[in-house]
Amino acid sequence: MTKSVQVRDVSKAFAGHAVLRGVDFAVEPGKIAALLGPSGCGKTTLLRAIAGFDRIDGGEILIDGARVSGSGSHLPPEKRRVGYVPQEGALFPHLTVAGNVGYGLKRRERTRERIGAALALVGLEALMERYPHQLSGGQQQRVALARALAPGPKLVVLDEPFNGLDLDLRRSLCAEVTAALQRAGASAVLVTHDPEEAFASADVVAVMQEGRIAQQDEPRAVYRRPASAAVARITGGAIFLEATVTGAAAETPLGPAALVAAPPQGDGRASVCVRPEQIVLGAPGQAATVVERSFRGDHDLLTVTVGERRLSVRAPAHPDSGLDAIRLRIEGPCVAFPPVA
Amino acid sequence: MKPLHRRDVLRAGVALAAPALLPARAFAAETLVLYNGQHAEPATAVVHAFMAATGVTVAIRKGGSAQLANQIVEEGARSPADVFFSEETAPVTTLAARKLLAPVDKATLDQIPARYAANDGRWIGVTARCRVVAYDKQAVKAEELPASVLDFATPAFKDRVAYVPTSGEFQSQSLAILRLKGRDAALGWLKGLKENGRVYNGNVAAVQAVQRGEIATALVNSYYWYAVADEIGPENMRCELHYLGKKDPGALVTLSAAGALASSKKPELAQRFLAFMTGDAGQKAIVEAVAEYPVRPGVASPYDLKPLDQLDPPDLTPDDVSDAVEALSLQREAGLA
Amino acid sequence: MSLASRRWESAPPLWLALAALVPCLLIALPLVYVALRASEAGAAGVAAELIRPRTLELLLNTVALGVSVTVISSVLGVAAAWCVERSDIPFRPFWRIAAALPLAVPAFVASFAWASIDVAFQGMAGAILILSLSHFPLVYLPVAAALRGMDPAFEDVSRSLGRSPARTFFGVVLPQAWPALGAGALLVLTHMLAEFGALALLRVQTFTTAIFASYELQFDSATAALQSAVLLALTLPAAFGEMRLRRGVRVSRSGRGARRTQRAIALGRAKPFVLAGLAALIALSTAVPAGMLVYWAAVGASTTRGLPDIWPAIGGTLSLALPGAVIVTALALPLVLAAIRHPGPASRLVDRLPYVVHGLPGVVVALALTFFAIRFLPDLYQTSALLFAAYAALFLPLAQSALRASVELAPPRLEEVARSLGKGPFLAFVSVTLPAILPGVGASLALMTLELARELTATLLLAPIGVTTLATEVWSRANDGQYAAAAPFAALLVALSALPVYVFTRRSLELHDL
Repeated sequence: MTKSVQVRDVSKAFAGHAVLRGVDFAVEPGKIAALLGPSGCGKTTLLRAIAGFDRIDGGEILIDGARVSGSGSHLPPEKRRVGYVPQEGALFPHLTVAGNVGYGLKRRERTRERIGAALALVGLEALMERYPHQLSGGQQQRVALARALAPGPKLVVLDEPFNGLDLDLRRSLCAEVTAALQRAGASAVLVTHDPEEAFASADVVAVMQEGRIAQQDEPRAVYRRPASAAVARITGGAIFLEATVTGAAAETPLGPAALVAAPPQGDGRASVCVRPEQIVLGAPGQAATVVERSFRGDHDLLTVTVGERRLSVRAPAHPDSGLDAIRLRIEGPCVAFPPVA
Repeated sequence: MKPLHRRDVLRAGVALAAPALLPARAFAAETLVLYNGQHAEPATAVVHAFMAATGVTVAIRKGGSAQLANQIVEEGARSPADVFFSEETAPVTTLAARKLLAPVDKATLDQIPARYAANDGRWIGVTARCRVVAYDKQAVKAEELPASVLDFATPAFKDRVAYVPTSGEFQSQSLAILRLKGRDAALGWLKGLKENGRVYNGNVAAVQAVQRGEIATALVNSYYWYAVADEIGPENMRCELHYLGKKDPGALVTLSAAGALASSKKPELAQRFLAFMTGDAGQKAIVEAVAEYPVRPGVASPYDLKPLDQLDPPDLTPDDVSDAVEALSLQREAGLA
Repeated sequence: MSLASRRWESAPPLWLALAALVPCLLIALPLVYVALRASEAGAAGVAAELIRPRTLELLLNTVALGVSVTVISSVLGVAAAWCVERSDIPFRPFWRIAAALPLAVPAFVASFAWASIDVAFQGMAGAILILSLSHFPLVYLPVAAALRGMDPAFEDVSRSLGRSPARTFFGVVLPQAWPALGAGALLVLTHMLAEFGALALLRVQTFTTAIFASYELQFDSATAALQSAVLLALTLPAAFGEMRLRRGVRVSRSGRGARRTQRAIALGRAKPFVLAGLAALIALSTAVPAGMLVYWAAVGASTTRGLPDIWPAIGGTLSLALPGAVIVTALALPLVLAAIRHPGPASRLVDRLPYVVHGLPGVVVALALTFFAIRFLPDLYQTSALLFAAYAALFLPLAQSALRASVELAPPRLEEVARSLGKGPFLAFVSVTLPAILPGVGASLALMTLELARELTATLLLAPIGVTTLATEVWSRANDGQYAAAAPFAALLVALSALPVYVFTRRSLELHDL
């Protein structure tokens, strides 16, 4: 099946500094892929290369099977039909909402119906005559998405579209955007540094690190089975415990832990990656001492010591804020990496 | 760029603004204020001669004659000026009519022929010059030039005659035609020029246009030719002068003129300056600096001028050709102003 | 994203209102004077003057010249700004300054040079060409600054929506630059309405040359005042229209997050042509006049005759232009602050009035100040102080436009923080806002120094007696036909102007990089 976008061994350097170092990446039609990574990992550069804003130095990019970049050729962005939603939307301040959404339509297509339909995808039909400065941040982003979707692109790229919005809005908007993309039937590449955002919206998450795709898989797999310690850190909270591995099991300071698979490096010392929610309270388990209990509303955050190790552990909210001895254990399978030297 | 510090900027601002806050320059009692609309060189020459002879300091404000006259009108009785030296007679005539000029001392008026002073004695002529036709000798021969200035305002001179409607002497010339040939002739002449001639903003520009071969002829004053010839050398002049003579209005003799302000706080000093301007030393200093005719008999110009008594100008007094209001109404009717 | 200023719709504090009142009073003087003098003509006189064919002729000339020069300057200015800021033109830092250099050549010097090359450059067509060449930097600079500060995401989005680079330029970039373009174009237009020296040399008659002629020909200023009133009427719609343009177009830049650096657009095979065009533009507007000055100095006999007067002229120029620049800038600042921080009908009016007066010829403003000073402040008459007042009345809009961008960028929040830390409104302004707008102040000082150094009419009439400047000496010697003697003064004026042009260009363009 033809991929919606296929990136093969793409490299790109700015002023001698390599930003993309042989990236391979693909998105199936109709799917949403997230490019997740810390700032400076090259994710935005990859996005811009796909959209055609930047030329690539090596490799090739195909959109719907047609080569748009590579081997010296470069299709300009206006010929690619790739929708683009930049950070903070970048709505044209001199145009109304309708003017913005209609901007990418051909003159005869620029009808109220067509614009209204695009706005309906994001639920903002009522705001057609407003100017961007009269909209809230979330509304601006939704209009920006409607504008990108209006010409009916097969692929939309979104560059940290929810940056600068408050947390609640990010979450709700994320869901809305995903829904709108699905309604429009467009594939999408979403760039973000927020794993929760990536998991919530994407069918596939590609974790980028230092100019390469470190891992590309569906969200749960990336979270549960990070390919490296770095990927584990990028994709969420990660606690690394010194452990001894035997087959697909490990002995940690918190007691025994199951491994998703026997690690390729074999038995012996290892660093086991535990997600915070895998550490649960109650017997049976390893004895630990609570040194601080911090009230967080629906839960408490405990700082505990197990032997020499200091850990932060989520615990159900406790009516009294006393400090006491507790027991901890690890639930669910973990991943073991070679020990830290 | 090095960032500016606020304090530096403020300090610099105060330092720069300080001169503005100082009071007006105080002048010694023996300082005469001259508003000079005449060309700078002759004015400076006579002022230097006067200062050397008397020890009096003279401060000069330069500007266009008409603009300075307008300024004096706005200043009224509080004008700082003591003496006004004008390139033309219309500005002094106007100031005299508004009683802004004091009568000139009888002894001073007696130094020069009566035809070179105002009828009411409120201003005196300082230099005389003649209206001429400057022509490009490569484009036209002197013999081919018409006998009268009236004949230049015709289709035969379409785009071949330059004129300067904002010049006072041009106005005087139109008034001369009006006096000698009647209002219709004057109006017809102006309309003919508007139709066929080319407007220049100054006499020097017009003479230079002829010299460059840009236009065949120009209606100007004699001394502008000498100004340009001084600059580039007489041997390089393709522009020549044609004197119409024969009492044609185109041979009009006009004056630069001076008057003492009625509001002057130093009337005696002002009168002394006027007397000096028309005295031997003053006249010599002036005519050495500009190719105009001295009004005082017995003083000779070092320039090779066509003698004054051979110019054969029309018989008109300066007052005949100095009515700015009348000249303007003519120009307005002709669509030139 | 609304402009931060929109939250500040309160009345201005007392100190600001009082500070804005001073320039307003100065601006009012020429308007009152014109009204007083024009009323002397009486109703019949007004009607007779206005319905003359001559008035129509002047009107057509004035409008044709003003509109043509404004349009051509705008095209040249925008093109130069785009090439310099957005294309991958080589030697960009050089072109950035060079494109502003025509500002250093006074229009009358350029006009004289062209007029003496060939008669073909005289007349309306020549005037339009020559004045466009000497005025396009007034558009180039604000537009270049706007292009530089523009969020490149707009262009990316437009391209992604299927618009080619050219259509993106007209669909997104140009609309974003409208306010900058409008501000520059308004300055060009008002300059054209008030231009005298260049037009006299090029033999084009407009209302302003007619006003000068009226003062040359007659000593009853009613006609000149009426013609001035017509000029004012022409300036009014432009001044207020430009403001409407500014209000209608909202330009904002994403305030959060790092701004992506713009990528230069590859000129490709057009590069040699663009380079040649830019070089020709700058050569025509600077090298031709410079060559002419050299020519005159070489062929004339009087070249060295004015040399003893050079030092006093330089001293006079600096002693008037530098403090004048400080004063005009200081007077303009409250107007800009009031208009941006406290928008309302009153602050809009006081922001616009200076533009209207900017379209008046210098002689009218100078005579107005003569009229009022002689009657009410005779001690100030013909002191530097009065001349500075005239400079302010003539040139406030230039200072306003130089200041506006930096005041718009200075967040009012800062001042609120200073107030919360116990500073009074004025002290908060001086300690927080003033440092933030220093680039604009620097730009304004440079531009003012430039304009004041070449000002002629008001300086001749109002400077302390005996004070000469480079401009008055150029005028005086050219008036005597000693062009060679005038050449060193004109050359010095151009050379001295290059420094403020440099500073102004740097300050204007760097504003957005801070």
